[in-house]
Amino acid sequence: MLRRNDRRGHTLGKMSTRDKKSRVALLQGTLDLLILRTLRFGRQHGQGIARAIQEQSEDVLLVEHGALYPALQRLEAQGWITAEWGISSNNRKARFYTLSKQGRKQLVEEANRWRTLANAIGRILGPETQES
Amino acid sequence: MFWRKRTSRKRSGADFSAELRSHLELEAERMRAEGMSEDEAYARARRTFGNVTRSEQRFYESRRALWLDQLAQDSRHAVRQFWHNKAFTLIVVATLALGIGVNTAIFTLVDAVMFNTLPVSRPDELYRLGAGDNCCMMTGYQAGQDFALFSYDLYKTLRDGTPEIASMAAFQPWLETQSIRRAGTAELAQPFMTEHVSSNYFELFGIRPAAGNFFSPSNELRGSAPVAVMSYRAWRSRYGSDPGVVGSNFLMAGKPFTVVGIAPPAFYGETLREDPPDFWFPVATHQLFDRAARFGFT
Repeated sequence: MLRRNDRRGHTLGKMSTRDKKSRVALLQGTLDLLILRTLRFGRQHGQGIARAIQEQSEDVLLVEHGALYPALQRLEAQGWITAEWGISSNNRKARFYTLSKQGRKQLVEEANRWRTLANAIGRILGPETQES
Repeated sequence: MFWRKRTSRKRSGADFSAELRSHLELEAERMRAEGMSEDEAYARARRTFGNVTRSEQRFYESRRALWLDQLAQDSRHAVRQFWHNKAFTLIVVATLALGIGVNTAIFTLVDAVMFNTLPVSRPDELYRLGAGDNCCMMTGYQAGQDFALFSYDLYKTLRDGTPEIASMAAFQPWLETQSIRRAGTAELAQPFMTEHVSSNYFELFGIRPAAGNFFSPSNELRGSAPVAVMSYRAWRSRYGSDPGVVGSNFLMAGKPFTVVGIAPPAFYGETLREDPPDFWFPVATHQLFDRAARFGFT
């Protein structure tokens, strides 16, 4: 389990030394949740999803773009998202992903699970400290 | 429904690669919009993407895993269905088993009878003399057909009086079961199929002995020392292909004879039958073993 986390940490959140302080590697399983959440606002292509995650997290989360596609593939196989080729706003061919009904349900479940977990961990850690 | 779901999951590697290319272009375009040069933008897009080849590899791996997964699911489903309908499964398995078995048996026969040529040198020059298709009959109701038997004297007359026929050999129309054992050993006598033939019998077929020699014309003369040729099958299965068999003495019904040679592996005699001869003797030997002599010939 530990080794698997290490590996995924490496692929999902590669950090350069400069970014080390401000950017955080993604936890396992969270990428799926973020993708589903991004697609809630409508269909989007892979590059758009990557950019949206980065921007909405105010550049804290760094997604290595290449890691996004296996995740998209996985979600598509599960039936949570569907895909079709289309034309982007700047007139380029791109594969657009849409959240399915099943995916919408999955998003609610996953989001609730995540909030519960974050709350519990937050309570254990207590108020913010200045410790480094 | 099931089928639709499965096919829709399939996606070609080319399609996946096209998506990755599209991603890099979109990203590079965005970088350019932020004021980067053409080259810099593309390099940057690639860098943020990470390893393209690895992504493609992972795509293929996941697809293969999916395929295996579905195969396992389908197999499990099939086994469950079989288990559910035991009677049906049994009938299907039995039908297939019988079908395959019968086909194999028939092919084995057809292969031996029709596809493999006779193990003789010039099969197209061989003819059997006689009336009708009934060969080698001694008794029984023949359904309106004659069966042809020739006396040994008539055979000799025909053989010597037809110079236009290259060679003519005679064979006994029926086989005999004889108890034979190797002389000078402790082995018990065993039943063997025997056939009496003219001394030129093996030369007629143009075959060569697997070991030793075939008969010489003198073996056909009355009072010559009794000899025999053993079949390859008997040599291998009863005597373990022992080379000492050639030239050694055997006893048939207590009377001694010498094995002079072994017939070639695929030669089972002039007639296709389920109990081919194990020993061939020259015609003259027959009198020695005190039997009535009547012969058909080819």
